[in-house]
Parts: sequence; C-alpha cells; structure tokens
Amino acid sequence: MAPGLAFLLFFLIFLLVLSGFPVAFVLGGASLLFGLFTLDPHFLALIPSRMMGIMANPVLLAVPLFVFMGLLLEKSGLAQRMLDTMGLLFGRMRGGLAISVVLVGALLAASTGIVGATVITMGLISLPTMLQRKYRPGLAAGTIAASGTLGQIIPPSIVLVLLGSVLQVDVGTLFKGAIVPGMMLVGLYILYIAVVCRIKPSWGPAIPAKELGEFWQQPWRGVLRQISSAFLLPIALILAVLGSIFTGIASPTEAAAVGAFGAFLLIFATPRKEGESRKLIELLRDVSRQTTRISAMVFFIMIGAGIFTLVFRQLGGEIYLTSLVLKAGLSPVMFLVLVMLIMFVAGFFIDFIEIIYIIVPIAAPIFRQMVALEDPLFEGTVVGTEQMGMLWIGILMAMNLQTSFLTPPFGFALFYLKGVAPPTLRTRDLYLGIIPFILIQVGVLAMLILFPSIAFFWM
Amino acid sequence: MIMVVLMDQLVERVEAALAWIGKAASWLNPLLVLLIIIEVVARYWMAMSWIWLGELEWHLFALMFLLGASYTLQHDGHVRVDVLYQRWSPIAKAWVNLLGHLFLLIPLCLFVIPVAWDYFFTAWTRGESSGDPGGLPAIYPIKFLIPAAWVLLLTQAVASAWKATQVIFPRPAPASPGSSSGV
Repeated sequence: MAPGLAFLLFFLIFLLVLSGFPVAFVLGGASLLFGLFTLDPHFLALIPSRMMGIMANPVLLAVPLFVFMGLLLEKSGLAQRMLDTMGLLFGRMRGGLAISVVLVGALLAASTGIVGATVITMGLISLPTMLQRKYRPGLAAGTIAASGTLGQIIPPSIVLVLLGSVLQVDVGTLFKGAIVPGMMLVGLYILYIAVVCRIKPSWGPAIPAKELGEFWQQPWRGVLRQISSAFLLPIALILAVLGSIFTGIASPTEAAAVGAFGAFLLIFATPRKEGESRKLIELLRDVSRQTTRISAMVFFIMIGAGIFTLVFRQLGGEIYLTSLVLKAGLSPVMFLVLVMLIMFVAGFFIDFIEIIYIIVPIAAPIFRQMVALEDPLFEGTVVGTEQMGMLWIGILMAMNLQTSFLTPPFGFALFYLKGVAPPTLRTRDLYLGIIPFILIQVGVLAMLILFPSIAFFWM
Repeated sequence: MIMVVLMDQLVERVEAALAWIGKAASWLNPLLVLLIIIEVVARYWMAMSWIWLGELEWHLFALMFLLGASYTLQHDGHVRVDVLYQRWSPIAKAWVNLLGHLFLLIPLCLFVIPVAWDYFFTAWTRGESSGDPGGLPAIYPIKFLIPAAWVLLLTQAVASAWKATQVIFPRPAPASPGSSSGV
C-alpha cells in the first residue's frame, strides 16, 4: 500500500502519453512495469480475466456496430446528399445551409462518435460549399466544429456507451437522459444561426433563386425521390434506432445492429449507375476494415486502462484518493466542480476515450459514494436514487467534454477542422466564430447543473 | 548488409501476413450485424431464442478486435496524443516509436503472453464450457485468442521497431519505403 507511488504512476503516464506513443500501450506497458517493481507480481494473473470481461460484455458490442453504421452513412456519400438536399429545402432562408450542417452533424456525429472523424468529414463535406456560397468563414467554421462535436452528447453516442460502462449506468437510460440536453443544444445553435443571419444578412446568404428553381422544376417524382432517399429515410432510420432503445423493444446492441443493417439497405436501395454494384462490395470492405481499426483502438485503450486501474488500485491509490476527498471536507459540489475542471483541461490534450478511461474510473467510486450518502447536492431535485445521480453526472461529463473540444486555443475539434480547411480560413476567424457556440454550451451546461431535472425529462 | 536486406524482406512478409489476418477479421463486422438481425427476428417474430447464438456474437466481436489489433498498429491506427508529436521531425518520431516499442509495448506483450497462456491452458485442461445450459460447448477456444492476440501484437511491435531503426539509421542504398499510414 503506497498511495504516493500510485500518483507517481499517474503522472508518469501523463508525461509518457505526451511523447506521442500510442496511448493504449503507454497505459498498459507503463502500469505493468511499474507494478512489477512495486507490487507482488501476482497481479499479472488478473489481466487475462480483465480482458475476458471486455470481450464478453454485451453492451460494448454496440460500439463496433454504431461505428459501422456511421461509416456506412458517411462513406456511401449519403451524408453528402443529405446535406445538399437539406440545403435546398431550406432554400430561400438565410443561413439555411448552416442550419442543415447542424442537423446533419447531429445525425452523423451521433453514430461515428470519434470527434476527429466527424469534424473532418463535416469539414470536408460542407466547408467548401459554405465558403463558395459566400458564408462568413467564422460562422461556417464555428458551425462545423460545434455540430461535429454534437456526437459527444446526442445518442446513440459512443461516448455515452463507454461512459455508461465505466459509471455502471444503464446505457439506454443514459441515452434517454441525453436527449433533452442534446436537443437544447441543437435548437439553440439553429436559433443563433437564424438570428445572426437575420441581423447580418451577408453572414449567411440564401441559395440563389436560379439553383432552387432548377431543383423544384424537375418532375415532382424526382423531387420526392430525392427528398425521401436523402433526407426522410436516413432520419427515419436514426429515429427507429433510438425509438427501439427508448421503448425497450431492443437493447442498444440490437438497435445498433438493426441500424447498421438499415443503413446498408438504404444504400442498396438508392438508385445507382451501371456497374456500381461492384462498388457496394468495396464500400462494405472499406467500412469493415475501418470499423476494425477503430474498434481495436478503442478496446486496446480499454485493456491498457484496465491494467492501469488494476495497478493504481492495488497500490492503494483509490482508497487514498477517496479518503483524501472526504477528509478534505470537499463538498460534493466542490468535488464535482474539481473533476469537471480537470476533465475540461484534460480535454485540451487528450481525446474522450483516454479521459473516460484514465480520469473517470478514479472519480466514479467517489461520486458513487457521495451520491449514495444522499448528499444535500441532490436535495430538492428529482435526483433521488444512486443510479439517477450517476446518470446526471455522466451527462454532465459528456457535455463538459464537448465544450472542452471546442475551446480555443487547444480544442481538438479546431485542430481537426483547421487541418482540412482551405488556407483562406484564418485561425482568428475560426476562434471568433466558435465563441458564440461555446457560450451556448456553457449556458446549457449551467442549466443542467442548476436544474438536473432536464436530464430526467423522459423518465 | 545482407542481414539488413533479409530482415527488411522478413518484416515485409510478416506485415503482409498480419494485414491479411486483420482484413479477414474485418469481415466479421458485417457477419455480426447479420447474426444479431437473425437473433432479433427470431426472438420477436418467431418467439425463438438460442443462448449459443448470443455467445457466438460476443465471440466474433472479440475475435474481430483481438485479431485486428496488430493490423491497427501497422496502420498507425492506435490513437496518439499528438499535441507535440505532430510537430516533430520524422527522425524524432521514429525515436519515440523505437523507444516506446522497446520499453513499453514489447515488455507488455512479453509479460502478458505467459499469464494469458496459463489462463487458456487452465480452461482447456478442465474442458471449461459456458456456464449456461444451451450455451456453446467450449469456452477455451476464445480464451486461446487472448495469448494469440498478444503474440500477433508482439510480432508487429518487433516489425515496427525494426522499421523505426531504418528511419533513424538509413541505409545508403535507396530502399523502398514501408507501407501505408493513417486510418
């Protein structure tokens, strides 16, 4: 029992992770070697059963399935067509294209989940179009970065699946709780875009009448087909996936499989040109391979983090930390604020998967203990039971991470977007453009802290 | 010199084999989707369910990511914190990778492989089956995958370390650059 050593390990890992060597192997390798020097080597024998726990977890099975579904929608070009069609539907409205980006981002981000992937895709699909239509660069970039990170909170989000497994909260319930906060964000983003484009018409011009005319003048069958195949059906698909989870018809894992299958049928049914059936196999192959790479990445971080928590716990770090927090007389609110701040700053440097598996496992037992004690934090709210308290904390965490990824100068989403943006997009425009969205985020986060009932709206 | 060339060729072959395994395992993803669809349809429309099917699903899931891990390493798909890393020169990056492989990943594999083998071996000698009646007849095949995955990962780690040395100490003769990068 040497709690000092446990924290030495934590800082060692933090430093090694910054070297840029893959996080999964820093976590696993450094913890294992550190454990060999400081602990009875019997702890090694626990590693395979930890792995078995991950392999046989039916909830985690949902992760590759959701990734598979998101990649199918993205790589088939369906997301692109969805955006184009939605842009045309909003047509004459100023800022209509930006609003479409928010909506498509919400749908797409929800399923791929990895921040970098979604922001890059949205950036590639929509940034050139928006700039070409004379959108103000700051508004365009801010919209994309903000909508690309919506996947942190909007179900079916992988962040929530992983958070659920660490916090030991039912994933379906976590999804349900995230719906209202997620919708609030989407609604406020859209409201902001609509208002700002009304005040400053030059920030987000409408689509030229000529182009709109071409769309509406084609035979109505064509209009109808485009709207249904590129707009109504994908939305119906996501709603069906979520609906079947919320009504309890299907587990998240089953719903994910149904969603992936539905996405495939949708792509299969969309009219294709001659000789494109071969492409369908290639699409399936590429999507499968990328799904494997993303899943292996996620689950090996989980394995590495499993070794880390094993060693950290055996060194007595967890008990020490709990007693430290309790002895210091930190009130639950203060502890919550502290953890949120740490996660927010960590979000500047590391992606959500690492945060969920390095920081959250250390904080979760303390939260659980505090929530179980029926602390006054939860007095006068609907946060009655332990499960609900943990659920609320999970949603706060997801929301907090999303804000962190947007905040200059370190926000992840900004780096990724800058990476795929044309050189005409200046960093200053990007930073200024994102600020209103960050304010919206902070506002919704504050509401969620003050009124936890937002998270229990549907329960 | 001849040793270096031979080693290069060996690394190339080994990587090709590991990539083949990872790509083959990727087809388990659509298969998994299909199996779960069958399970859902059977349960809701035919009121049938099989415990072994649910077990088979997680077996395939585990098979996919365990066999895919070394292929992912080859593709540089294991996420890095690249705030500093992205600014460094190729030589500095190669040093990070060489040292990381030698002192973190390779030792990790070397220590986990024997305990993982014991874990499998115990299950195998006891002829362990899934606890549930109606489940799969044996649980040890999937347990075999745990040491196997670490052996594959070790192999790729050695290959990657070798490639890093070739970046740090380039040969005078022009060599063909290694395979792909990025996800």
